[in-house]
Amino acid sequence: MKLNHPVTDREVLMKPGTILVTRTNLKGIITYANDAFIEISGFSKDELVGANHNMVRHPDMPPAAFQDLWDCLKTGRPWTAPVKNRTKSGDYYWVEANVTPVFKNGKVQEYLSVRYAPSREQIQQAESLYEKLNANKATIRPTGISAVIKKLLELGLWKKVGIIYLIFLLPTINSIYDHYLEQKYPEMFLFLGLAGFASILGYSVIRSVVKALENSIRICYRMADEQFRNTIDLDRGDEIGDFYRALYGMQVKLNSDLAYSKQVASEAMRIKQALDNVQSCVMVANNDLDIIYMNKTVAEMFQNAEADIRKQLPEFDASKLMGANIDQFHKKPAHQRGLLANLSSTFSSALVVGGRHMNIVANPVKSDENERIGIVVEWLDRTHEVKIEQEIASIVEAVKAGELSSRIELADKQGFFETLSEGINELTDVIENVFRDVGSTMQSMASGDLTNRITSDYQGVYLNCKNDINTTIDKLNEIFGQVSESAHFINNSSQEIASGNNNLSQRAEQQAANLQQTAASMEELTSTVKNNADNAQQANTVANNARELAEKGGNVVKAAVSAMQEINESSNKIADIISVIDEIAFQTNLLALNASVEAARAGEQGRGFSVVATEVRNLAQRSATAARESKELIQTSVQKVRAGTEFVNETGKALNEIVAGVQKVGDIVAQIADASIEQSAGIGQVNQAVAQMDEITQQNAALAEEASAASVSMSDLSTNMVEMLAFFKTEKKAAEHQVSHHADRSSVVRAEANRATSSQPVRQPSSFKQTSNADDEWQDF
Amino acid sequence: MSEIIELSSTDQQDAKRLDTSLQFLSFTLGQEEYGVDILRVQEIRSWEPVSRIPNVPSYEKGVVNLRGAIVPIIDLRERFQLGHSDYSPLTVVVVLQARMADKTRIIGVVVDSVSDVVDVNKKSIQSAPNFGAKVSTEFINGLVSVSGRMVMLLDVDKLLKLDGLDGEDES
Amino acid sequence: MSIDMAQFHQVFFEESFEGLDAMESGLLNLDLGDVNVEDINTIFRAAHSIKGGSGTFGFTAVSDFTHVMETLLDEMRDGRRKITQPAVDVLLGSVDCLRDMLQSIQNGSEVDQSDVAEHKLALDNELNNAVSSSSAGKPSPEALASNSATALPADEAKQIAGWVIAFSPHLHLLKTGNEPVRMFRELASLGHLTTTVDLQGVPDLYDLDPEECHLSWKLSVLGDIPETEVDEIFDWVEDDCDLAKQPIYQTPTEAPPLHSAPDVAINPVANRVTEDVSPELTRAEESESNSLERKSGKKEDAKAAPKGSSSIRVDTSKIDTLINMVGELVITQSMLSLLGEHFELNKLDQLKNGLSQLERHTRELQESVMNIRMLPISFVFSRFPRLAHDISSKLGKKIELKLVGENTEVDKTVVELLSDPLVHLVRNSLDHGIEMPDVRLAAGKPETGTVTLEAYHRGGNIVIEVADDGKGLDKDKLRAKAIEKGLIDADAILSDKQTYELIFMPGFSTAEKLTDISGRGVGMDVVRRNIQALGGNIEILSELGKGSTISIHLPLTLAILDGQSIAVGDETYILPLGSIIESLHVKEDRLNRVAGKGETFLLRGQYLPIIRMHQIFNVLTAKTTKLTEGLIVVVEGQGLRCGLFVDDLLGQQQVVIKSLEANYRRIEGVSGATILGDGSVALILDIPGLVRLANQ
Repeated sequence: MKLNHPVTDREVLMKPGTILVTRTNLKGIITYANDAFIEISGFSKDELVGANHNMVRHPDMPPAAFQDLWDCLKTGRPWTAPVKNRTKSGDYYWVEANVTPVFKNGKVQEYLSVRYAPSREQIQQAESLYEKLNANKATIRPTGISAVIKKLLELGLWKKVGIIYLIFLLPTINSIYDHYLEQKYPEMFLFLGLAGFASILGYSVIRSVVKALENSIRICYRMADEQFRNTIDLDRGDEIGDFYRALYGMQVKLNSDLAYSKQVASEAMRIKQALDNVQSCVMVANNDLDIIYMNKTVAEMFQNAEADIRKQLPEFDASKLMGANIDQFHKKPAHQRGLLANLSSTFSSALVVGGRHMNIVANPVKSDENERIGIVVEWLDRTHEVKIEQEIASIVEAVKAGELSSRIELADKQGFFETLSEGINELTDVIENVFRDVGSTMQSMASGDLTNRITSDYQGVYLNCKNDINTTIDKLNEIFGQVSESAHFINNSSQEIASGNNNLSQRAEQQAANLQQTAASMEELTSTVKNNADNAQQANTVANNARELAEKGGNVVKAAVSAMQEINESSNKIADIISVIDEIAFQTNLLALNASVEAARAGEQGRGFSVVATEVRNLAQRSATAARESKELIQTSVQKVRAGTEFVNETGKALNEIVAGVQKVGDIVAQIADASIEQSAGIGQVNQAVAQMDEITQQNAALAEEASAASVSMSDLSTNMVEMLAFFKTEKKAAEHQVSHHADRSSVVRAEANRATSSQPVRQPSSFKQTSNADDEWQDF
Repeated sequence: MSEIIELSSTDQQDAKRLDTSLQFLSFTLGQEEYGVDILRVQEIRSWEPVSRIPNVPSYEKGVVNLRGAIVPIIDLRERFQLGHSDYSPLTVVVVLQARMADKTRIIGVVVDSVSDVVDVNKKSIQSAPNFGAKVSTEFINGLVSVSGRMVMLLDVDKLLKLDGLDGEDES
Repeated sequence: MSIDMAQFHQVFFEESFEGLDAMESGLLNLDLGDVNVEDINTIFRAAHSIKGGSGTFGFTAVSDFTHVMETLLDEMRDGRRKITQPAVDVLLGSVDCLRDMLQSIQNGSEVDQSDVAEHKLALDNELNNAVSSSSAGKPSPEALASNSATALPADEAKQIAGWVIAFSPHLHLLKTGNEPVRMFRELASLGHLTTTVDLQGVPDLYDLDPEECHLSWKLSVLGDIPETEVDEIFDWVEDDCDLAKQPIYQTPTEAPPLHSAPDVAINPVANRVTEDVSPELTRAEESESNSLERKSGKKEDAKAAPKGSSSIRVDTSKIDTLINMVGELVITQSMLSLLGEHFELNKLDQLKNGLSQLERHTRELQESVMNIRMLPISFVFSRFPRLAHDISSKLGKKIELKLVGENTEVDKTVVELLSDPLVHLVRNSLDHGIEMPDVRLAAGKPETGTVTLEAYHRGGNIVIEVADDGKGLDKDKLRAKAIEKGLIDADAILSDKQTYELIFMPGFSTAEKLTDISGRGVGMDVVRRNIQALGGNIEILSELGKGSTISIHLPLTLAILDGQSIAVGDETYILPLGSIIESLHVKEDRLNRVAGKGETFLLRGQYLPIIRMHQIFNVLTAKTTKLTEGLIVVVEGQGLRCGLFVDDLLGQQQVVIKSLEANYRRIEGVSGATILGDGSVALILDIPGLVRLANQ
C-alpha cells in the first residue's frame, strides 16, 4: 500500500461548480486530467499524465475503500464515495468521487473519474466511517444476515412476480376449490384474504417499479438540462438497481464530456477574440480557398483600399469578401490556386494591386490528423511606405550628386517618416553650409588671400574639418611669412657669396703661383739630402769592414786563448800523469824492496835476484827523480802557459774593446745613414705634398671661379623667389601693410645693423643694397 | 835415493849467522835511520786507513786487513816519541814478523820512508850505547855504519814485545 | 826416508782411528746368535789395514798386537771359532788398547806396555781357550801380570835372521801406481838389502813399452825382520805380482830389545811433522809435499791438510761442488774482464748482471767452503754405543741406545768441542737416568731402558737432545739438596725450570753415592759452561718416573756469525744478532742518572744500565752524546742485560769471525774482528766484556 508523504492538515476546498475529471487506463495510470484537477492537485500535467492515480491518494484513506473501489470496477460497476485526496504540497481536499468503467464494444476500455465538491455532512460521515474502517470496526458492505436479506430483497422483479404468482394462485385455487367443495366459507375467505394480500403485494411491486421509472425519467430530464448532479441509488440489487447504475454511468460520462466540450469551446472563443483584435490583417480560407474568416483589420484594410483595387479589379467589393473566393484578388487565379493547393509550408509574396503594394504571407492550417483544413493569409498594405521610401531615395540621390537644394515635403509625413524626413532635410542643410564655407575659404586661398577663416559653428567631423582648414591657413600664413623672410635672407647671402667667391678665386690663383716656387726649392733640397745619405752609407760600409776585421782579430785571439787553455790543461794532465809515474815509481820501489826482502830470505839463491831488485830500485828511484824533475819542468811550463794565457787574454780583451769601439762607430754612421735616408724620404714626401698642394690649389682656383659664377646665378634665383613670394598675402604682411613704411624699414635696418656688427664689413654694402631692393618691392606691392 | 834435507827458515838463519854478512832493511824515522833484519820483514806496503782499536796506546794505530789476517799497525815515530807525522799514500808500512813464545805474530810498523836493503858485516856491528830516555836501548841490537850513515839495528822481537802486545798474560 | 814417510803418518793415524771406530761399531753390532760373515769381514779388513799400515810405518808393536786380533778374527770369519760375548768383549778391549797405542805413538808419548801386554794375553787366552773350547773367563790382573812375563819371550823365540824374496811383478804393476824402487827402499830400511835383477823378461828396445815392467828381482834382506813387515811392503802388490819368500833363520841371542827401538825412531819424526806444519811453511814446500803425495798414489779421495790436529776428511761431492763453483767463478771473472776491456756505458746492465752473478757465485763458494767444515754429528755419536755397552754391562742395566739424525752436519769445531759435554750427558742418563731392570719392571716399564740421542737442524742452529725413559728428576730432592748445599735459600720460590736448572750449578750432584762414571758434582756446570762457550745453551725437561730430556742448542758454526752492524761516529762495530733483544729510542722521562754509578733507563719495569759506546771506546767523532738522540740497543750476554748507546743501526750481515789475538792481543769488550765488504776491519763486540769495561 503506497503511502504518500508528506501530509499537512491544510484543507484545500474545491471551487464550487467545478468538476475534476481524470481518465485512467486499466492499470490505474492517468491518461488524462482536466485543468481543474491539475490546478487543485498541484502537480503539473506532465507529472500527472503517465503516473499512477494513487499518487494523489491521501494516507488517511482506508485501504478497504480502495479495495471496494476496485472490486466494484472489476465487476463492471461504477463506484462512488467521498474521498480524501492529497495535493503535491501535502494538503488535502475532499471530493465526491464517481468512478465508472468506460465500455467500448462491450469491453471495459478505461476508467473515468469525475469528482464533485462534497458537502460537509458527507465529509463528516466519511471521516467517521474511514476512521472505523481503519480501525477495522466497520465494513463498507453489509455482512451476514443483513447481506442475505439484502440479497432476497434485491431479487429480480420477475422472480418476485413469480413468487407472488405461486403464493397467490396455488393455495388460492386449491383453497377455493376445497372450500367450494366443502362449503367452508371461512376458509374460502381466508384464501380470499390471501388473494387480497397477494394483490397488495403485487401492487407494491409494481408501484416500486413505477416509482423507480419515474425517478429515472426525472433524472433523464435533469441530465438533459445539463444537471448531472442527480442522486441515484446505486446499491439496489434488483433490476432497478442495475438500471440506476447504468443511468448513473451515463450521467457521469455525459457530465465529463460536457465539461470537455465546454473547455474546448471556451478555448476556441478566446483565440477568435484574440485574432479579431489583432492589428495584423488575417484572413482564413478553407481548402476551396473560400474566405471563411477575416479579422477587423483586414476588413478595414480592404475597405480603405477598395477604391484603388477597383481600378485594377473592378468587381472587387470589400463588403462582400467574406465567403467569397480568394480568386477574386488575381487576374489569373489558376496559378495561385495551384500554388496554394500544394501549400504545405509558409509562402510569402508581394503583389501590387491598383497601385497598392501588398505583402502576403500564407500558411497552411492543419487538423490534429495533420490534414490541411485551410489556409491562413496575412496581408500587409505597404503602399504609403513605398511612396515615402521613393521620396527619401530621390533626396539621397540628389545629395549624392551634390545637388543640395531640394528638400523632402514634410506635409504628408507623419510619425517615423516625418521625423526621418526632417532629419534628412537638416542633414542636407548642414552639408550645404559646410561646403559653402569651405568653398569660399579655399577660393580666397587660391587667390592668395590667407586671411579668410571658417567661422560657422560645426560639430564632429565638420568641426575637425573647419579646424583643420583654419589651422592649415594659419600654418600657411606662418610658413609663407618665414619663407618670405628666408628668401630675403638667401637673396642677401647669395649676393654676398658671389662677391666672396670672386675674392677667393683671385686669392687661389695667387696661392698656386707661390706653391710652384716652393716646389722648385724643395727639389733642390732633396738632391742635397740624397747626396748626404749616400755618403753616410759609404761611411757605414767602411765601418762595417773595420768591425769585421776587428772581430776576426778577436776570434783569432780567442782561439789563441783556448789553445793556451788547452795547453794549460794538457800541462796539468801531464803533471797528473807525472804524479802517477811518481807514485808508480814509489810503488815500484816498494815492490823492489819487497823483492829484496824475499831475495834476502831466499839466501844465497836469492843473491842474484837481490841484485836485480836493487837495479829495479835504482831504476824506480831514477824514474822517480825524472818524474820529479819533469814535474818541476811541467810546473814551470804550466806557470808560463798561465802567464801567456793571461797575456793573450788581455790581448783578447783589448781586441774585444776595439771591436766594440768600431762597432759603435759603425752603428753611429749607420744611424746617420739611416737618418739621411729617412730625411730624404721625408723631403720626398714634402715634395710630393707640395705638388699635391699645387694641384689642389689649381683645382681650388677653378672651383672658386665656378663657385663665383654659381653664387651669382643663385643670387638671381633668390631674387626671383622673393618676387614670387610677394604674391601671397599673409596676415603679417597685411598687418605690416597697415602700419607705416617708416616703422617697417627702421626695423629692417636695425636688424641689418645688428648683423653688420658681428660679421665682416665686406658684406655691408650688399646688405644695404638688398634692403633697398626689398624696400622697392614692398613699395611695389 | 839420497836423503832430502828440508831447509827450514831456522836452518837458513842458522846458516846466515854463521855467515859473516847479514841483510837489513833500513828505513828512516825523522833524521834517524834504523834497520831490521830483513828476514823478519814480510812485506812493505803503503799506508792505508786503519780500523781504530779502543783503549790502547795512541801509537797503536789500529788494525788492517792483510789478505784476510787482522794485523795491528804501530806508528814507530810515536812509539819512539819522535812526534807525529801525517799519513799519505806515500807513507810506508813495514810488515814485520815477531816471535813471541811459540807464536809468530805479524805486525805493521809505520815508518817515514824505506831506504835500502843493506848488507852488513857481522863484525862491523857495534853494541848500542845508551841513548838516554829518548829511545830505550833495550830493543836496539847494535849500531852499524852504512856509507857513513849510522843505522840503528832494531831487535824486532823485543821491539814488538815491549809494546805490550803479548796477549798471553791476559788470555 | 823417515822424513818422507812422516808425510803419511797423519793419514795413517786417521785411517787407523777410523778403522778402530769401524771395528768397534762392528763388534757392538754383532748379533751373537746370528753372525753375519760380512760384519766379521768388515772388522777383519779394518784390523788388517791397521796391521798393514803400522807395519809399513814401522810401528811393530801395533802390527804385532793387531796380528793377534787378526788371527782371532780370521778364525771367527772362517767359522772355526764361535763368536762369544767374552770374545767380543776381549776384542773390544783390544780395540781400546790399540787406540791408546796409536794415540801414544801419535803424541809421541810412551805406550803403556803393561796395558798392551794385558790385552794381548787376553787375546791369546781367547785363542787358546777357543781351541781347547774352554769357557772364557776374565783373567784376573794377577794372572795377567804373571802371564805377561812369560808371554813375551815366547814371542821372541821365533827370531829370524832375514828373508829371501823372489819378486816378479806383472807387466802392469807400474800402472797401479806402485813403484818397485820405493818398495825396495822400504825393505832396505828393515835391514841390509841385496838385489839381483833378472833382465830376461826385457824385450827388444823397439818392442819396449816404457810403462810396463819387464823386470823381476831376487831380493835378500838380512836382519831381525818379522814376516809381517815384509808382507806389509808387498801388501799392496800382492795381486799384481808373483811373490815367494823364505825366511833365513838365525840364533835368537843376537836380537836387540824390541820395544824401545821403534819408539825412538818414531818420536822424532812425529815431532818434526808437527813442527813443520807451521804457518812459516813456504809455498814451495807445500807444493813439494803435494807432489810427493800424488806420487805416492796412496791418496784416495780424502784431502789432508798437513796440520796435525786440524786435518779434516771431506766428502768428495763437496769438493766437486767447490770445483764447479770455482769454475763458475772463473767464467764470471773472464766475462767481467772481457767486459772491462771494452767497457761502454750501454753495457752497464751486462756489468750489473755479471757483478750479481759474481756475488752469487762468491756467496755460494763461501757457503761451500763453510760446508767443507761441516761434519756429520755421527763423529761424536759413534762413540756412544760403546759407552752404553760398557756402562750397561758394568752396572748390570739393560739399555738400548738409539741414535737419530747421525748425518746431521755441524761445524768441525763444534763437533770437537761438543764431544766432552755430550759424553757427560749420556753418562748421566745411563748412570742416573735409567733404573735397574728390577726397578723398571716394578715401575711397570720395560726391562730395557732406552736412551735416545737425536740431532737435527732448527733454523741456523743444531739441536742435540739426550732423552731417557728413566726415573726423571725429583724436584723436591733437587731443592732439598740445593738448600742443603747452600745454593739457594730455604724459602726461595723456584719454577720447575729453575728447579731443574739447579743441576747446572757448580758443586751440585744428586747421586746418592759416587760412582766412577758420574756423580762427582763437577759435571753439569762444566757442561753448561762449555756449551755456552760455544755460543749455545742447554735446557732440561723432566718428568718424575718417566724420564728426562736435555736439549742443547748450538750454532752450526763458530766461524760465521749473524751480525748487526752499528755505527758509532765514523766507526762500525758488529753485534752478534743473537744478543740483541731490541733497539729503541729512549725518552727523557725513562732515563735515570745514578750518581757515581752511571745511567740507567726503564724498560718495561726493569732498570737497565746504559753503556755509552762512544765513551767506553773513546770515539770522538760520535754523532751525538745525548741519549735521547741516539739509539739504545738492548743486548744480553751471559745473563747480563744492558742498553748500548750507539749512533745508528746499519745493516745485518753474516760475518766471518777473525781472531784479533792471532797477531795482536785481546781487547776488552771485543770478542774478535771481521772484514767488511769494503775490505776494512770491524770489531765484534763482546757484551760481558763491555759491561766489565763500563764498570771499571
